[in-house]
Amino acid sequence: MTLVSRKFLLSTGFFLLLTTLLYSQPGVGYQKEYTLLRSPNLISDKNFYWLTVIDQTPAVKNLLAADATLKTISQARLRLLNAHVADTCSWASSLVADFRYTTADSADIATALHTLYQNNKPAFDGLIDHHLRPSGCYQRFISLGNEDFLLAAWGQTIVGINYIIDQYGLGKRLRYSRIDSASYDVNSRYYRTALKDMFAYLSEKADSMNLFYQPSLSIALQLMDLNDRDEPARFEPLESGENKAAAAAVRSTAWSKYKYATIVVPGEGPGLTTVALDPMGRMRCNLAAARYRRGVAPFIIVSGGFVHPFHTPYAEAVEMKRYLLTQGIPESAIIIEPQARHTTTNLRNANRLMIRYGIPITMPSVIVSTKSQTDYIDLPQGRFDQRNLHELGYLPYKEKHRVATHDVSYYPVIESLHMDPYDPLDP
Amino acid sequence: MIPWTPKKMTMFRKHFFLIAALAFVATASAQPGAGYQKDYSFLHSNNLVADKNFYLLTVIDQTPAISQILIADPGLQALREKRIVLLHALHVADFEFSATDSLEVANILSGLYSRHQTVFDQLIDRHLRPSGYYQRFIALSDKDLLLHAWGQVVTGLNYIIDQFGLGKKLRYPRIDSATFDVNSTYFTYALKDMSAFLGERTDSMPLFFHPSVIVAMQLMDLNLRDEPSLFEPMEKSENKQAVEAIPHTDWSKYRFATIVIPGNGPELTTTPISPINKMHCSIAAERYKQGWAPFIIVSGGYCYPFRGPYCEAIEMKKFLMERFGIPAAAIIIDPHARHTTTNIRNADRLIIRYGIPLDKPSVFITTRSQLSMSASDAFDQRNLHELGYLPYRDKKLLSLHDISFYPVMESLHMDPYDPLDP
Repeated sequence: MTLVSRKFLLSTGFFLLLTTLLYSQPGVGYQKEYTLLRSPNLISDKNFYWLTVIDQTPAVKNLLAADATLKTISQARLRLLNAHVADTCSWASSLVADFRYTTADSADIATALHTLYQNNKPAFDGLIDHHLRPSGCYQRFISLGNEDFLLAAWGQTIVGINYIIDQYGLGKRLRYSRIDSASYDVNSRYYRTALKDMFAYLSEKADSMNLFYQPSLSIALQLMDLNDRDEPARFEPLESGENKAAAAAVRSTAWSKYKYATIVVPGEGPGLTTVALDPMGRMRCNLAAARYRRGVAPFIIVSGGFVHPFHTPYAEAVEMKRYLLTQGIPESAIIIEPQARHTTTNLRNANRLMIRYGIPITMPSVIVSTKSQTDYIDLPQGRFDQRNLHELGYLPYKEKHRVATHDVSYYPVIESLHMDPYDPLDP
Repeated sequence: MIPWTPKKMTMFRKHFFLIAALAFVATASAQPGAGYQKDYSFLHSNNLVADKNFYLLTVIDQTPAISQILIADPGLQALREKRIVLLHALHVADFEFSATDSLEVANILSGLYSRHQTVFDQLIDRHLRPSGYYQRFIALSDKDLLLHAWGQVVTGLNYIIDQFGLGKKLRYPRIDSATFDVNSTYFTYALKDMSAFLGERTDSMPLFFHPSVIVAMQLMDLNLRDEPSLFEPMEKSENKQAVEAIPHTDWSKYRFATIVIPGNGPELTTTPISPINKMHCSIAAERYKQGWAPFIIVSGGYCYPFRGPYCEAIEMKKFLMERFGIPAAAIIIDPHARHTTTNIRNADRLIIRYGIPLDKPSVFITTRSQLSMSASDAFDQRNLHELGYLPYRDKKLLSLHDISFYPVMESLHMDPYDPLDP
């Protein structure tokens, strides 16, 4: 009944009317009906969604291209890009460091954006209200007014671009360097050759980089490509690929029959390159399968990407699904989340899929894992909370509660949709 | 002066009995100068690695008239017997052909050729010349072509035994050398077992070259060196769609016949396609989409890192299809080349054998760091040193990323110094 009436409301346009009234207001955020825009580069879309939107919004694009301050910034970077084709710079530090944004650069751009916004409110409001807010990618900014929202989105972009250049261009050891860092020694002869080639390669397409962020963005994306860091794009689009059967089943699920909406299984990375599924991962799958068979929840979300060991050929979620299928769990009951790299993002990403696939977040879900991990998630003095606050800036759960040795129940939170610039492999 | 008589008689007989059909073969192809024929079909033994390295021997094996002449020769039989005995206490160096052995065989072959010119000429005119494998020898007379082909066999056999049996570091040792330490306990055991294994099958070695060829092939096999046979026959598998598209191509619409991408091997075992190689492919894909050429030839085998799990050409094809949506029918793979020189040579071979026009230039894609390597005079010198000829003509630098060239027929010639990609 509920589903039918909700569909009815939608089709009558009541919903649209409501949202139109609310648009432009601080507080408006994710809308399930919103369709994400896509460029040819999904890694860029996931890390820098507002730039993808700008690129496909001629009104705003033209404003940015015509602005004198922004033009000066982009032309300086393009000159540098072209100069590196033939100059004698050959070390990472001399080649890519200048494509980062300094505090001063960033402030100049923010000022320019502020002025542009003030003079062209309708164009920018349209972009923010029709795209950035309903996308969910900036869900933690929704209480801001549109101008602040815009500047906050720009702030995230700087963090993201600088992080990528630091990590994959300058070889800095940032978060989780054992699994997330550059594939090469950035000062090795091979990598320096590749970097130098990259400038000649990008310079061939410099003519098409007329927006202020494009030179640095293309360097950042090319650096990720040099390191084979296409993790965000792997297995996408999930909902028409690996998760097709489950996404279809969500729509016909009678939720009232279940205690939990989903069973969330965080993966464990194998210790050896030759091992596809870690023994602890297998135990977790067995625990989850037993609960599924008891009818605890209609779906199992297996979560984990290509993580351990460094550049492993196996994705945790995919291997867990493969194993669950051998245990007789139907494909339509398994949702894979093959991108998370940490326990924090296992939960965050599970939430994202629940929200985007239409699984009720008013119902609790249950994390099922082996004892070492449930102990960790249930650490005393809120130590797991602290890690989440430190890394994500918020808790990707509420009412987290240890139910049994292997079971922790929780409610998903909608902030989980927010894009994280500190995790370019799984933003 | 004696040898011309039987030849003349043969020609007479052919004209007489087979009339017009063979007139062409007898008059045109028995002449020095006749070489590659597109409609020639290769003979195959059950070992493609041997066929590609020693085509002369494959043809002899399948030409009973010649095999019998060689078996009947007492000098060659003596050479064979000596080697068969050596098989039982295998010392791989003994299976090489010393200068003395080689010269002795050449003398005997020369005598046999004179006495049996008809059958030898048939072998040469109907197989060696039209195969293209000996394209650099086509200006020679039949007899000299035969002796040169034998010379190449000796070079190839000795090279393989040196490299994979004696563990010598020859050309490109970082990628082409023996898989095992040839002095390790493991390899010593393997060699002893190989001796017993081959000892059981001496009956299948009736010809003088068999013991050495079989030892050489077995050594490649011990080192897991089957690169030449991988992905073959390509025209019926990976390259099938492209080969079918070639006859329907309107060449006049294109500036270049093909876009050739030389592979750049990954540094890491976990990387299917190297960063520089991805750039090569991206540049090529853009050119393809701009309509420069109807086909992309991706060239590169299993090279870097040593015994890595990925073949450059295969990974490039996959990358072009997945990232840029280039259709399979527009991609020709050369999964064998191991060096920049042979990237071009092998592309030429496919262009020639697949019937792509030779009077249209192709374009070779590079990145900035590779450019000096492939555009400079030093690259000409490297080709002359390694291949003995230039696998291109009218090479012209177009931009930082593009070099145009025309293919040359000499590229068909088999190279005994590169047993993994002869």
